[in-house]
Amino acid sequence: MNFKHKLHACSCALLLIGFASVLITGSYTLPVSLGCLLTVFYYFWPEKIEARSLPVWASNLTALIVLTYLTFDSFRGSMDLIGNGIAFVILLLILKLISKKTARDWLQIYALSFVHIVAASNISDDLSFAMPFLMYLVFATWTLSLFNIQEQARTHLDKTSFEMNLNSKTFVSRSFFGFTALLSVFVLMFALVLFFIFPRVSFHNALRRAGATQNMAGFSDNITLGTIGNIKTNTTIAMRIELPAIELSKLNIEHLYWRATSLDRFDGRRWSQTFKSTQRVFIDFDKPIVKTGHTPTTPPFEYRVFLQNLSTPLLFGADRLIDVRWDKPMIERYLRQAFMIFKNEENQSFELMDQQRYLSDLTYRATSELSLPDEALLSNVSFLDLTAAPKPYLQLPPLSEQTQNILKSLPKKPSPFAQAKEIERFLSQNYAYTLDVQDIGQADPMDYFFSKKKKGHCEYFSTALVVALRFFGIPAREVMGFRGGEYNPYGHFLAVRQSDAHTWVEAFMGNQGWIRLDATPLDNTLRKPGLFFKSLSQSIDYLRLRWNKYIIDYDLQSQVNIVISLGKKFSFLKKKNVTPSEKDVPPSLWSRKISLPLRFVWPAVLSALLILGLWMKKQTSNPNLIRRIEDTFKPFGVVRKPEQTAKTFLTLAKEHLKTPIPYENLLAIFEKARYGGDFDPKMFEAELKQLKIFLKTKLS
Amino acid sequence: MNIQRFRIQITKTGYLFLLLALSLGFGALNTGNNLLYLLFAMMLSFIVLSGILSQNSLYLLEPTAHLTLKTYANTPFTLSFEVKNNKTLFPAYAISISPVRSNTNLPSTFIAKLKSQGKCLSGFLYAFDKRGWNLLPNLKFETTYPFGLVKKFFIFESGQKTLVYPTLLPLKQTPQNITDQFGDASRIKKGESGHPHGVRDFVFGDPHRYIHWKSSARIGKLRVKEFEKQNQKIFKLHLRIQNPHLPLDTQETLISIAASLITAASMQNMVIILVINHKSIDNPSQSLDVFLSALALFQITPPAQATLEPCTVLISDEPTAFQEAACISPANLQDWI
Repeated sequence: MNFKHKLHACSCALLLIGFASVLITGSYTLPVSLGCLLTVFYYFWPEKIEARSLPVWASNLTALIVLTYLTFDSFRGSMDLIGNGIAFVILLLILKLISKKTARDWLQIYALSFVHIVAASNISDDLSFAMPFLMYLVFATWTLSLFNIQEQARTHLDKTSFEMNLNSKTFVSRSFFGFTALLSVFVLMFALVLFFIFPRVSFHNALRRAGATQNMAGFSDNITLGTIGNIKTNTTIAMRIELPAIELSKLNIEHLYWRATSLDRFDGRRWSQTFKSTQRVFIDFDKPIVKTGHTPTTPPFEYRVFLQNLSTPLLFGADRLIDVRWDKPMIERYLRQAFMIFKNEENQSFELMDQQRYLSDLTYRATSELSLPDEALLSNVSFLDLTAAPKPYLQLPPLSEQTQNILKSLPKKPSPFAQAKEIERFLSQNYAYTLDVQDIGQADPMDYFFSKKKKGHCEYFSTALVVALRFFGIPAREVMGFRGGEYNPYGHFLAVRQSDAHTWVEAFMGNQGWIRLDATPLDNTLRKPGLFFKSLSQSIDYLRLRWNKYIIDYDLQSQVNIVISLGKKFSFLKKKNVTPSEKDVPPSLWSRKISLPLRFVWPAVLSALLILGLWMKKQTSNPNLIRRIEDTFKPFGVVRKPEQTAKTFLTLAKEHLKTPIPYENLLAIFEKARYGGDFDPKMFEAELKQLKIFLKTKLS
Repeated sequence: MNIQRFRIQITKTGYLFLLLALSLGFGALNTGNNLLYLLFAMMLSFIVLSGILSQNSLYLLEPTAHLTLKTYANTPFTLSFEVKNNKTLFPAYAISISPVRSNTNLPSTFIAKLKSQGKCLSGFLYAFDKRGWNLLPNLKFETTYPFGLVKKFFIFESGQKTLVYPTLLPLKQTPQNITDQFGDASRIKKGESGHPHGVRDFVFGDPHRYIHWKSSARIGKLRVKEFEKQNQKIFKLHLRIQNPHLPLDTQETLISIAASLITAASMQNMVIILVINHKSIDNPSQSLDVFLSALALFQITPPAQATLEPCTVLISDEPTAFQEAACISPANLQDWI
């Protein structure tokens, strides 16, 4: 490959990465994706493009028509301004590629390719952005270096030498690419340093496309039996739980239940909620956003949840939730507007307001008490104690005779707890787990489960358990959430996938509250991935967590925390007599205190720098000097052409005016300013003044 | 040799890039999107890297100018120089070299790649605009490598001087024509062919092949052989410019005519006698360089009261009617050039 081919290949790769960064977000249809790929592959053979390039007028006309359509669509049709904008950028790039090109067009093509990366960052903030970003960095370094060498050679060399350089196979070697790739690493390192330093004070004013959300079927207030079962094969991660390693060693992961909400009414086919009234809770980010009122009797268990942007805006917490705190005060959101959640006291569910708009992924800390109440205390609860529960928890759908007979055949126990445990044991031992539940048509699902199939997945088991409990007069409700998770040895966290979605049961035990029951046997039917793929998947997942934690969720609070931790590390340098009031201010208050001034300081500093730069440019600008020389000659009809240097201009002016003009000193001063040397502005002014006087006296 | 400190300029592309970066920064500020912050940081890193790499490309470059023996005023010649890359690891890329004060519109030279510890001989056309001792022009070494965002350059001042001969002009008459009218009869003189005439001291411009090694070794300094010259015509040129108020251009034109005539006469193998302001130039070897050097260094001297000797051509600053020679003066310049 000669120089020309190498540059071409790098350019192709750069464009491909630009396209890919947008396409992998899944925002565009297959035909658009194929169109982009085909264009790049077609363009890969430059001879074809040169022979059959699109005329400029056709390219401009197409762009104009599409722009008109997209503008109309953005304001009257789909209202997707950003999506249409990105589509237009894709089209522009394709048109540029198939049109005739000059060096300037190439720069525009590279710029458009970069806009693709910017667009991708606006659509998705998933880890999948990182790979195109890193590749783009490397290829941009290669392409721009080669392109710059080519353009400089074109400017300075004659055509033969230029062609000779372009056809050289040894001009850029492997070491060039290796060295340039190393430079990309340097760019990345430096960029990361800058990234962490920039003050994160944002206005949240401009447009941002709503991030892609994971569609989580089954976590609504009205679901048909079987919906959760449908997502049991989806292995997408729904949330990650970070918990202390000591706690992990004590826990049986399979016994961890991540509760979202509960349903109370079952009509035989569908579950729904009777208690829909919610309480709006305005969040003070320095206090717990959820406080259930549960008083733990055993040491509570604290964990951090990294919740993905799910279509279901619910908070998940382990059994017997005590409280939930935001991991970060979310200063910016707080300043922008009040943030609130909808709290359903009866269902013990906590729904976020308008999550899709303001949140991508969510991080919070929660505390729960995992251990169940003492069995002795539970056994003391009598059926009479259960009357305190609201009636909907005892509601039963019409049951078939066969179902009733099966339930009646169950042994009777003296206490509700013993009865509940007996039913749980009965179901888990006599019924089998399967995801293979055929469409039962108009048949009664409970009858189908209890008498015919005798198999089902968690929804069937939990529904059957609720029905059975209620049949025996024990108030019960269906609970939805996740069970267990996969331990990630690289990041020491639990990855909870959609396939971990689960339904179980909560039974009311009088003054002991609600206790969890789960009759679903363990699922051994799911195929486990091989060791390599499991390890790979865990590594990627670990990276994804870190990406979210350190890149996506990095904010002013994180910066403040870093500064504080650095301050602690270097505390030996500080004065020891700190006043208590300063010492006791919590980090979140610090960040809030500094955030408001920073919001104004940051743009002010930028503006000041810009003004300073412009002022300095004005002071030292060489074009300004030559313009002043030009202005001196303008009244005498001598005008400088852009291509003329100062010397040529002055020589021609001398010939034009037919007067020996003493410009040598002025020229020497100008050239010092232009090409380096000790420029003396005062001398320049004096010489210019003398020249003006000379011209006036001689020529007027 | 002196290399001035590195200077930096942002190019037009660089300004556009910076504008794009700032727009992105503004976007990041507005949306709070951390990925935009990351891209903004990446763009700023590119600018910083651009500055560092262009500096690295020019760093430890050692230029050496090569002097050219014969250079004429206002006549382009190849100003050649050697550039050495003293870096042990990194090659230098895309370096353009141009004279700082160029009076020609000819393109500058370009070194696409110079390996580490590598040398490269390069050059470009250049013309001095005045005769006499001239400083070699300062050279500007610049590069926009790697991304064309910033231009870095340094000025190389060689500090070397070179003697520039007067401009050679195309003349309407040749020395042959003039000598046919006003010349001396041919006679045997010492020259570069025929029988040996004698041995004399070596002067600058003598051909090395005529060095008489035996006598040189005996005396301890270089001596050259002289030969008889057969049937050669004598071309005697008298240059007389003594008027300090003569316009500079006219003065230079007269000197250029003198240089052109002498060069043409030398090429026609004539015996040249050059008298400048009544002072004969001692040049026994008839070296053209000696005559041209004398003309290159010519300066107006106070008028001397001396009678004109007979000559072939009289170049004078005032119209002179001298029957024995072809007279060139400001009044009849158009007849000669």
